[in-house]
Amino acid sequence: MSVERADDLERVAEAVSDGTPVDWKGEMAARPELSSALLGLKRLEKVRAAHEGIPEPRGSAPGGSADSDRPTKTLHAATAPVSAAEPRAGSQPLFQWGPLDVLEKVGEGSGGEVFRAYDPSLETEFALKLRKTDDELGSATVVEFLAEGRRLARVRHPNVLVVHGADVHGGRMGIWTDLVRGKSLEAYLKQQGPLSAREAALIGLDLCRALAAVHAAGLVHRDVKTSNVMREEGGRIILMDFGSMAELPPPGVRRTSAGPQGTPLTMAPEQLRGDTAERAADLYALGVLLYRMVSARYPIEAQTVPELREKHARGDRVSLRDRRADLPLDFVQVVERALAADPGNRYPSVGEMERALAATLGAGSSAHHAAVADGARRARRRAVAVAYVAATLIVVALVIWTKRPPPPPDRTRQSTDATVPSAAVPPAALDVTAALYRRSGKGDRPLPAGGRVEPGDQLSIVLEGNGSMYTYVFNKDVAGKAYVLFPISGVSPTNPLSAGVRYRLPGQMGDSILYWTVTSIGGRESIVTIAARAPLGEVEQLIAQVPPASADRPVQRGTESSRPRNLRGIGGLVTGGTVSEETRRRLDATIRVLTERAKAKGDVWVWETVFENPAP
Amino acid sequence: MGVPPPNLESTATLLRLVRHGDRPARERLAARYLQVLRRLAHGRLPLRARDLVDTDDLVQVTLIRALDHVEEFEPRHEGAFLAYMRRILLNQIRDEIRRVARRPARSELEGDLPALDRSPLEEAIGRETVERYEAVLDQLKEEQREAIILRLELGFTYHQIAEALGRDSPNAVRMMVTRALVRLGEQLGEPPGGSESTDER
Repeated sequence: MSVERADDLERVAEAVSDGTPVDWKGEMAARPELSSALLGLKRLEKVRAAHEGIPEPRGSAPGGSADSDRPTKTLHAATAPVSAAEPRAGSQPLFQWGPLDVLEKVGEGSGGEVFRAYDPSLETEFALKLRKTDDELGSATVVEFLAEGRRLARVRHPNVLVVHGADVHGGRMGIWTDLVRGKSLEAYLKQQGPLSAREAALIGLDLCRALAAVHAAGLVHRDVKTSNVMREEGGRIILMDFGSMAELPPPGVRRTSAGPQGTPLTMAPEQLRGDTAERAADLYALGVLLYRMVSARYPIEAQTVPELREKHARGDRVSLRDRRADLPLDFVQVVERALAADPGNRYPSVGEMERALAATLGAGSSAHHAAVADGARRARRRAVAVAYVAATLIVVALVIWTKRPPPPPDRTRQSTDATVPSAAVPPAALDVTAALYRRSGKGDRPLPAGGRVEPGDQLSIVLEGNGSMYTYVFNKDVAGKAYVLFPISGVSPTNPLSAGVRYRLPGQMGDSILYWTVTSIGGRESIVTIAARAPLGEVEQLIAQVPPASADRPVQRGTESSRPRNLRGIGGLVTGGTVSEETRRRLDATIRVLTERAKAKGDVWVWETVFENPAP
Repeated sequence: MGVPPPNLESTATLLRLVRHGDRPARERLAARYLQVLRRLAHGRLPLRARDLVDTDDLVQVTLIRALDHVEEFEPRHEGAFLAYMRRILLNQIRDEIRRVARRPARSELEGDLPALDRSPLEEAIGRETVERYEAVLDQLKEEQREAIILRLELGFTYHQIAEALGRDSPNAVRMMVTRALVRLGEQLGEPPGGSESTDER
């Protein structure tokens, strides 16, 4: 190689290495004999470029961290039920809106656009709904808008989308909320087909609670429908889209709205007539939602709004029984009452409706089998993965074990603990058989309560209930740390677990069997397993605050101890299993209350097992 | 819990601690490499696979595997450890692509966009060139290879590379990278077959 040749190529190579632009055409024209080496360098430049600008938003976000975590899963915008476009990880912010880097548009709704946005100081992603720009921004509009944001932010409930705030920046009004990963009930319905009465009722219960929280805050949702309810990965039901939420008029004041808001097919007749939507309208819409979840149809279907009004006026409604003959009578009755044309004939409150719905679940109905089938259909998706929780003291990391594990040993009735319900409970009692196992070379061995565990141990729980059940598993240690061991996003099975099926938890990701692994020393560890016939709101709320043994954000990130922590909601920053005093107290209190409830009512089952995990 | 800022402990120190079973050190090491591996994974994972696999999951698996073998692996320096993790990650991704390819038809929405089957890197230079790049990279001396990976793929500064390779002089590293790039370029520009499309010129 001549010196000159080497010099030229090295000059170009250095530019490639440093990422400075190269005039390839000029270089090649000047030294045609080097063109193949130059072509090679040009490819190397592309190699460099392809590795650049990837998930490090440094520079782009003022004060941003070098460690952003743009999820690559399909996202669903909080307030836009439309299926989100595939997010482009690492994309530069589209624009800034106040403190948020707006990353990509994920949907468009009636009132505006929805974006995925990132708050660099909180290191959290949010959904940001911006009102259309052509909205005239009279000061009255702005004041009303901000007031609405404040009211929405007051609603705190695990089944209601968390609204973090509302503001105006650069002339655009926006509301930012949790970013929810999952699919809308409408999409779920399309995918699964009509649900069993049982599954629909369980969703209905969650929505009754959600609406109770909304109503308690002095708000009416006005647009409850399948596409406005998300089913998060893991099964949590979340009511969203507050776009058309209205404040309740002060008692005694009748307010006429400017015109009907919401979606005609799910609207209560009084809402269609243009009357103000009251709480009873939400109740009606919930009835429509339940009707739709089990039949994939609407109680009154029409092509135009006038036709719809007319059918309402005539009471031209197809009864749910005529859509599905196999539904249990009590479920049909609840739905029909919610759909009463006269608001006075509906349930007086969502609380009353919840009670009626809960009653349909009472004595293990024939809907069970359908629920089992639903569960089986649901039990796929996603592949691979591993979860690894880097924890200081905590027990839990998930480990994959790619081969099928040996079948669990003979089922042993776990009766070492007083909280395991005995046969003496009333018929509706949830009866669960459970045992903890430790994987060993020779297969899984039962792990007795009070035994010793040590780092490296791989644990699983095998359990089976006599009814469909929502199951939650926590780990806590004497040092005040806690983890959610189940349910875990992305892991199947998901809640509810079907009746009469023996499950091994934590479960599977794709083809991989997962175990919880003891990763460190915790002094004394306890594993608390809770099962219930219906979702336990208070427990689900805790789940949102306790870090998961999850594949989502498992490895503790090492450099941000000084940054603010956000333990609430999905995507919150998880730091080493530390939970706040208050969360910890609430966890303990909840377990105590549920243990009492298990003894008294039997609709809940609680099992706490303590292990020694001493320092060597 | 106090987490030290980066670079207070050298990676070598951390590796030594990890080998002695120090759990917190393992976490600190994992945290340190998370972002680096994420960057690598992003360039290599086809879009289609990305919908089914979390980049982060792959990165986790890689970290676990690498750290699990840290006891039997005596890297002379950080650069070697990074190269080692890179290899694990690429194997992971290869397995992943194979697995994804076995999956039955996707939803009709996705269509059969060929771009989805290609990684950003393949998209940029073509699948064959990616393979050749890996092949010629393998022919470099170990230290050169590590330097190229650190510079080209991971965007390390010369100073950081010098540290990672246990070299004193960032300037010497610059020279090494430049020369290795020239060698790579010469081999990458001249395909064994000789007939090369000119569309990239």
